[in-house]
Amino acid sequence: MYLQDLLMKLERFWAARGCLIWFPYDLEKGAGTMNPATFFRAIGPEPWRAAYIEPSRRPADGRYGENPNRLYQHLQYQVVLKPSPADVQDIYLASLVELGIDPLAHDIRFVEDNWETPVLGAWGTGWEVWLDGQEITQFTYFQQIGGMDVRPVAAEITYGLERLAAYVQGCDTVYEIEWAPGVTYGELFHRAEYEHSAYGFDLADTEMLARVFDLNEAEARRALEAGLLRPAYDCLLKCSHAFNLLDARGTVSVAQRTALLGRCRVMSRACARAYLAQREALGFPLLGASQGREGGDCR
Amino acid sequence: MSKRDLLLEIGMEEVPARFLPGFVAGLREALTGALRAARLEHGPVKGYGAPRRVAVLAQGVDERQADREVETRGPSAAAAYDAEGRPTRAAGGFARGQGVPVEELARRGTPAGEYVFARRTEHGRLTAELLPAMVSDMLYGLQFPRQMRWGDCDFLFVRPIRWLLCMLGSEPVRVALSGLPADLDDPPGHSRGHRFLAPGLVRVTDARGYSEALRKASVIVDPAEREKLISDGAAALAAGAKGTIDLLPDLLEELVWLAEHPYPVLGSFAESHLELPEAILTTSMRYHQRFFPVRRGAGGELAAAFVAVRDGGGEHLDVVRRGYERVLAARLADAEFFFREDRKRSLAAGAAELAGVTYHERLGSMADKTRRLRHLGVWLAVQLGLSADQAGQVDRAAELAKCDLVTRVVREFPVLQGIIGGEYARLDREDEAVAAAIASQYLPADEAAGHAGGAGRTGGARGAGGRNGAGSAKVALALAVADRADSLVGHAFAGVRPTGSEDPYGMRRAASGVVAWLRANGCHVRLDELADAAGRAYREVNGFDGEALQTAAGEVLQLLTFRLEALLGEEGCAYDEIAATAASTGLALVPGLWSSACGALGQARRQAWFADVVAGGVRAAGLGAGALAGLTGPARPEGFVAPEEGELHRACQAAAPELTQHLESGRFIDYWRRLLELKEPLDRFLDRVLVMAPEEDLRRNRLALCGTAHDLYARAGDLSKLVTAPAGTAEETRGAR
Repeated sequence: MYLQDLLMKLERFWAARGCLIWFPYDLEKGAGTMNPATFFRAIGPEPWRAAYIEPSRRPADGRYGENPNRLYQHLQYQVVLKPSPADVQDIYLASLVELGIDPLAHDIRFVEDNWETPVLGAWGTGWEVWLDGQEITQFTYFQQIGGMDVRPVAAEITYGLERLAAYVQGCDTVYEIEWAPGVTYGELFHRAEYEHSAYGFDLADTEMLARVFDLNEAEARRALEAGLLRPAYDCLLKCSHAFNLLDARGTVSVAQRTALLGRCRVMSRACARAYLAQREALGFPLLGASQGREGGDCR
Repeated sequence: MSKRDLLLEIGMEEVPARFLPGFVAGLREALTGALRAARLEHGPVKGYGAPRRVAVLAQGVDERQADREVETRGPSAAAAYDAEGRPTRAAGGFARGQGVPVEELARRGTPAGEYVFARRTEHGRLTAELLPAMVSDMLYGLQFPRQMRWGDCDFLFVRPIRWLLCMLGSEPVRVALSGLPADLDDPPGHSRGHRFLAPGLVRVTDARGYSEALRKASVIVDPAEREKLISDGAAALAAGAKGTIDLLPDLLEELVWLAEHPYPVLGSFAESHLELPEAILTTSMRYHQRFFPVRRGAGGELAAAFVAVRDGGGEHLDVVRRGYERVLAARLADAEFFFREDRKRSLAAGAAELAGVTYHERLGSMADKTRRLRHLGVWLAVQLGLSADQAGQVDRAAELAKCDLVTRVVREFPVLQGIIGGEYARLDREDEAVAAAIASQYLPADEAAGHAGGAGRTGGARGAGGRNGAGSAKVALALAVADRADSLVGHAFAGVRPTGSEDPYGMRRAASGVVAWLRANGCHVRLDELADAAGRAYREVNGFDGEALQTAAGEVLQLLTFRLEALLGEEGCAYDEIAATAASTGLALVPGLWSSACGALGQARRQAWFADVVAGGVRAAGLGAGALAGLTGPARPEGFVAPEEGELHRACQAAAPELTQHLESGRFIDYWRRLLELKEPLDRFLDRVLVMAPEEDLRRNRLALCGTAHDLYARAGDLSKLVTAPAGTAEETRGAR
């Protein structure tokens, strides 16, 4: 199964379960959670189901293309289900079967891994899902976002597409994965991995990055004051990526780290609160929507 | 009364392994407590648990509560009866409420006056009726370090609850929890099987057959049985590969709680990876993959193999094994990348970056910490009587101690801090004593023995001493103690204090560490001087205010003393022995001396003759303790008037050098025996001479003499603090000698 087939199977699988098939957000980010389709839509009482691919960039994880598994940029397939259905684990396992992974022929585990993204003022409880010892999915019940309780709780399922594809195709490194007939992942991304690693670890201009952080933070504040929370959120994403690059360069001390993350958290809280107020003013339009909602009993 | 077995199973999404043992124990206690509160007798109660479930089975539970007589107090007699002694409306109302005829009310006096009482028989309720509320209370009462919500349920628990099973004998009992779906126990009498091997419902026909019913559905609900499956299976696999298994206890425990049907699998990795430091290999296997490392022969070198534990059966093992091997290969490739990056330079070269790593926002950087460690290390080297060479090693170890914090391997595997520093120091051909000190700086004193001079393993070879033996061990001790003393004084200075349950900076552990390190090696470092020396390092390196540092050092001294006392208590010393030791006038806050003195005191007090020593100590302390505190100076023989004064003075003078000698060589029993000779002159003096004489000179001189006697008596512990039977009644017990 080519990676693109795997992707299409996931899209069809989740579309059939009531998910909006969404698309990646066009700014650098460390995780699919940062796509507004998850960050904002998980807030408040409105139901929401969406699924989308998201390229996620983590400069510190770059390995110059030398490691079989670790990447500067990896592809996440992100599913968000709010409220979390009672059989969410079973649905997830059914999606693996759809991809040709028979649980009886493997060792599949849900191993505790509580997720936290300080930048988003967010945390949740859940697991990493292990397939024969390989982490292939992050599974999270959001408890807080932007410092606010998530009620009802949303479930987030994040597949690591490269690892899944490598497994399904029996590859020892992600670079051998066939994206489509005759085109490997290595052909598409190997050079990019090297360049981004070299840039992130060795070349990135830390003074420039610190300035980028400051400028975007100030701009976020200005936008928020004008009630424009989405542009403010874009600025936050830019701050977050600048921070990740600074971190990869190894020039951020513990205290500085705490300070920068604290500044991001202030922005994300403000955006989250502004979003909630905005939806409330609109009367939470999706509350009556049938999407993602079955019956009145709590699950 | 007829009895039935009671089973409660809570089915959940996978519960974190670390919470499960406490969860099982907690549920067992909750059920035992609930049965007691409901006055239901029962037989043995056993807890079960696996990742998706926790259960408890109580055998032979009363089917119903016993009937009981209940007496309820009503209105006062004055309000219940009128002047003619007829019941009033109040009495009638009370009786009706209690369901008894008004004429059956009894009158009785109480401390608050005379009242009427109603007695009636309360019929016991059926256990089956009581259970729903009991279960609900139990589940609400369980606490977890981290709880969560799910869906739109209004319930906090460790993980989502997906089913409930409650059985009394062969009958399912319906239970429901508010805030959760009402159908969690639907269909009644069913559990769920293994997620993959036996998915779906499992009929449990009676409570006692629970574990067998689940076994048929591929779930081993008894953790002890799973542990045996894993340890036996892993050992057999390793033996088959002519090796032995490192059955790391905490990993074993974790694996027990990570599988409902454990199945050990042997795998291997490329021999070339064996060139990595062993600590990195074992950490990759243990922490990242939860694999047991395999060794060649018992305690031998690592083999290029591991044992993993699958949750499943014996089918398709090749696929699973290939998966494990591929993941580990990637992990090791990653570790190799970090290791190669790190080794592009020496450990010492990282020192330049320590200025950029914050230790604590108020206490400066790791470079500052390093400078302080060097100050304190040198001071400790002097205290420990180390040679110039060894002092140099302490200094070098302190200089390099924190350098591994800027290595890639430690950033990736924080558990390896210290150990990697030691490993890299060896590769850099630093002195073995230096490398060993770096490697053992964060370890508890009792674990460090294997590292000082060892072969640089995590948890491996425990050959204590090594090439350089005791000297090398003291170099390690100096660094370990300096590191902790520095943290303690620094954090106290920064206003961090451990409170009842909170100790975010691990100050209690650090204090216990200082005490244990200093004690384990029997060295004469005074805790008060140590705290002061740590404070001086902050003044010299950070330029902090001396007075504030002294306050901090004082707080730390208190914490250290407290930990030392706690440690003695844990080792079985009685609290009054500890109090006596703490009030000694001659042990000088040296942890090793405290320990041996306190231990000896425990032995001595069981001897008959010791009662006389205590009696003397108590008498001397009565007047002497105040005199010592009042700083009267020594008594002047020319001021003596009564012969008893001179007699006691001579006796003290004669005893002093011998007592000192006994103490210095740790012969506490001899010390106390020698004090026996002081008893008579002391008694005569106190019986015949008026210490509190009206003449000031005379009084001061006599108080000073009391002070001298008290000092001698209390050098190894203030005996007046002992809570004992009165003098003369102590019996010699067998086995004390």
